[in-house]
Amino acid sequence: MFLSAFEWLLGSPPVAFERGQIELLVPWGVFWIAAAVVGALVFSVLGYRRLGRRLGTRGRLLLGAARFAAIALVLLCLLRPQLVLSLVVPQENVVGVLLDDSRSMQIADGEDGRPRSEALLAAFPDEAAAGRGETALGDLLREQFVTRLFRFSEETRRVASAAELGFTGARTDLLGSLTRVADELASLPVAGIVLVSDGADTVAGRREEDLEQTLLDLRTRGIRVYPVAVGRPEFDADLELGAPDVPARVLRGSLLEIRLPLRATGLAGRTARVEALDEGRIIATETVRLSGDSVETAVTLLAPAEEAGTRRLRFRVAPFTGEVLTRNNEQSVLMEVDDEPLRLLYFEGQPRWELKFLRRAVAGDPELHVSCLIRTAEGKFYRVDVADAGELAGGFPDTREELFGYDGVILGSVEASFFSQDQLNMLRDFVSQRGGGLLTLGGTSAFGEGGYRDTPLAEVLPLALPEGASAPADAGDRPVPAAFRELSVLPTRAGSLHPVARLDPDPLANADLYRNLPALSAVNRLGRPKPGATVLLEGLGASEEPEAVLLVQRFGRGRSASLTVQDLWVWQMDASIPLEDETHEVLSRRLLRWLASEAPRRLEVSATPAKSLVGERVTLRARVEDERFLAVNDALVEAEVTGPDGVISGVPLRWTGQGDGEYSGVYVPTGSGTHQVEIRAGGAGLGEESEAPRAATLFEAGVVDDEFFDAEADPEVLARIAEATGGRLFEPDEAEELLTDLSLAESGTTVVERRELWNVPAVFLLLFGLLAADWGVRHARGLP
Amino acid sequence: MVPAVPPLPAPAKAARTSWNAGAPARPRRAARCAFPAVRATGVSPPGRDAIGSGDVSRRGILAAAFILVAAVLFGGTLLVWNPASALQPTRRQIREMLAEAMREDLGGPRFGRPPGHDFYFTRAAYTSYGWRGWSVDYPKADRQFLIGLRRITNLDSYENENSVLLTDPDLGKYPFLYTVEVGHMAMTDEEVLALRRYLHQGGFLVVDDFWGTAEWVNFAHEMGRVLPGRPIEDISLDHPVFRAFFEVNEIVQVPNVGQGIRGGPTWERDGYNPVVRGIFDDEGRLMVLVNWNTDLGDAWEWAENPYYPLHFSNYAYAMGINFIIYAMAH
Repeated sequence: MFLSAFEWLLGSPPVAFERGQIELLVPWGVFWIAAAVVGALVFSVLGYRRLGRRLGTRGRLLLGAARFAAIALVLLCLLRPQLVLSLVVPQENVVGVLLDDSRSMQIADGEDGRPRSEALLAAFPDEAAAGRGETALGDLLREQFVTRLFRFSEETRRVASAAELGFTGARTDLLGSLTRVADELASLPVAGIVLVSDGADTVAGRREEDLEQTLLDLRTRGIRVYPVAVGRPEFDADLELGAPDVPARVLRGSLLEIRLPLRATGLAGRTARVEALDEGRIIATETVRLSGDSVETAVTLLAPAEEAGTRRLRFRVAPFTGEVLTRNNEQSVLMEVDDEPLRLLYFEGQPRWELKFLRRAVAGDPELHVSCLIRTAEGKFYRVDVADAGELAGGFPDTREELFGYDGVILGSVEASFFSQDQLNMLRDFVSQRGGGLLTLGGTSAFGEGGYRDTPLAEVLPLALPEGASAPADAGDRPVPAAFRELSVLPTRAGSLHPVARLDPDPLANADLYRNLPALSAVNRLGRPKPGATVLLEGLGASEEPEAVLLVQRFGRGRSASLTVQDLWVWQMDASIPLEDETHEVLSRRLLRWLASEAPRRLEVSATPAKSLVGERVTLRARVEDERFLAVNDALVEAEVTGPDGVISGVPLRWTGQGDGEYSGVYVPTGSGTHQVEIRAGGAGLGEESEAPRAATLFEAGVVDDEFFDAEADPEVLARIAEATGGRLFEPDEAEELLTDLSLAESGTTVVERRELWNVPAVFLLLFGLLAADWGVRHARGLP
Repeated sequence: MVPAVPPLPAPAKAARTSWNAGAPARPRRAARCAFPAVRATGVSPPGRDAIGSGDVSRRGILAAAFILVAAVLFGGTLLVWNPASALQPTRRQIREMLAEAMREDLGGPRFGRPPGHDFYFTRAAYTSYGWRGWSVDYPKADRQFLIGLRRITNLDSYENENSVLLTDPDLGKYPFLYTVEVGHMAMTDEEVLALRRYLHQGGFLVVDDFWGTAEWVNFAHEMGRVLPGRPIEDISLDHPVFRAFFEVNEIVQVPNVGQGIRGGPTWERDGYNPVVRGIFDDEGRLMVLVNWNTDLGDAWEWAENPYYPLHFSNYAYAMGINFIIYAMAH
């Protein structure tokens, strides 16, 4: 309404004034114009001088201004103002038309359940049917321009008509296709690019910078992009599972904590049952109540990884009635279940039952190897479960190479003064830099009582050590340790959800399990948990306030946990514990696995995207560290990719130069299926060692369903593209506006058109209005 | 794998009583016998003054003959009708009396025991027949051993003895048990179940001071009740228990204090060769460690006696410490 009124009044649409220039045709000099203006002013003022007394100052000014404006307007018209436009020459210019051919165009979120593709096909009907749909965008474009149609999804191809589109593309490479079309049309007079899409770019690993770079490129070339948005930015009812957060490599027998993002629209108040399946077998379920609209929440599933090898985990939620899209109710992920055991070091400053029963607990777990070192007397050590005669032969490790060979360290009751300052620093770095796990146990020589308060290890602990806790007197001199207390242990809310402390999926049943266990004892005086720590188990003793018994936290690259009691073994030996009870074993194994399972290896590898298309570039990235876990930049890194057909291809990986120890290489899969990647690193920088480190990962080619995730139309991205390139975003029914906009292009083959402005209705109406006002006032005052 | 002990036929109950009656009593043990009730009903050892001496007159001979005939007649009557048998307590009563006596004996240190230590040298108190039982050498042997243990290792150990009934609900708080004189063990069914459960949960039992085939048979029978079907196997010297703290390269027969001081033979009864044997669980972990034909307890108890040979005490301490360090790590 506004636009058409504007066009009627001024003879051209606003965009014309935006793009065009206004010039004066009569070449009067500045002097003459100024003289004319002054003359008009003098005439206006003098004309009302005589009537000054009867009008008053205000009236005189008003009438004078109106007369001056009228004279000025006439003067302006005499100068013949013109709007100078560059208009494209019909059929001389090319318009690139990009049509989205991806699968997301099949989503039926239009009116009456019509798919997005229908709106596209309506805008670009077959040429044979031309004339029927007069206002179809395709027809209008053809009248004015030479159109070049392209279909695009993961690749961009020229098509003769929209009828060739199948809407089966597995990805939408929005940015890549824009660049390619711009390249292809580079030698032609291009009026602009029309982009018909739902706006979602689904190329894996695309970043914000890529978008900015592409837009800058188009802007530099002067190509305007006119996106036409199809699809709805929000569905009426839909549930979507996000990409599950599953580690690429897990230890066999671990309890996986999987964080599964979930987004529901229009399903508030409904409940969804999320299932996790391993090769068709349900391994975990969780029921969630769906909350507010379109808010992303996360479900935490605890699932066991029981079998070694490559596993495909699937997650699903049964579709709700009325859901627009049901393909996004499923997710799948590949995972490598590793059976190379984790190596832990358990050091006790004195013989303690905790060590015996921890060893018994993990004895049945083939994925955990705990080497034990016990100081049995001053300067005398007893080694148990060492891998070879050399392991720990010199006592507690005093080199980084030796200590960092473990994935986790357990410190029992041993005083800080046993360690050298370098060993304490090493232990801290073991967690923060190497990424290992440290578990500290309660005991007469642990925590503050062990003198750890002012040591580097105090930083690592998940709890504060209070002042004044000092080393105990000799055992023989003390009847009862001063801080001795018995604690009934219960899980916290966080503990009921944590893979270590959750013995039963039901929080109430979980608490009951703990309630039936005998009390444990503690002898250390402890401070509050640190802000970043999570308390999993707490104990109730004589004091009213519960105290933390098991706490965990991240520290640098690694993990830190503290078990503040000194006799977890009571949960194995107490007379109230049934013989078949496995609480102690399960808790100990889970704690140690959790502690060490995420400790990085010296060689880590990843493949992105983990689900690729056949022919798509898959980037293999590796991180290489030496025995001290320091990044190595001069290693020789090579990947061997075994395709689904068994063919092995070598891919050299080169240092990226962007981060220490980071290498990358590119592999292009030629067949669909699971690809195994094995990486070997060698070279002088890795030190003298017999065996070069190896690592493995996998990715899948040919199975991509990204188009159905995050599938709502994204007009925001389209609007950004339009804005950045100087185009505008249109709806499919705004064909004529789009055409007008395109016709005013500054690029391509254009002609200059001058449009007179003196004869537009607006000038006449304004002049008439001014004179009418002048006359009206005078008439009302009874003036001549 | 060392072959199992050759199975011997379990002796009849009467036969067992006869070994007990025939066993020479050690004076020190008689002095601190824990079970007066049992002693009262026990059979006295034969006296030395049964045979007379000096001039023998006809009258005397007649008197002696009369006494002999009277004795034979009286004895025969007793054999036919045994009035004492009506007065003897039943086996069950004996057990109750034993349990009562044990509770009394367990009194002092057990209830004064402070909590919070890492280790308590704990004696298993079990039911036995005869006056011999778990409390032989108790508590001096335990206390003297603990002095050595605490001096040599850095184990946080309670300094006094600690004895506990097998049926005590707190038994699980002490994953190490020491017990002696198992040749006279006669556990109740409750004790058998409690010990079985304890060992399966991860408890460790060290057995010491029993000698000869007959006592072995009794012990093997009792262990058969606790861990049915599990063999008692020889432990060879390359087992890690012999190197847990001290390096032990031979199995020494440690004699009791009397024989040790006198320098006589080190064996008792027919227990000529000292043996260390064990019972293992399904995973091959040692649950019960058996010292047969040796008496480590006496060597601890009399370690301060200048006449008791030092090398026996040294060996006994080394073995005891090894057992504990091993038990606390495996």
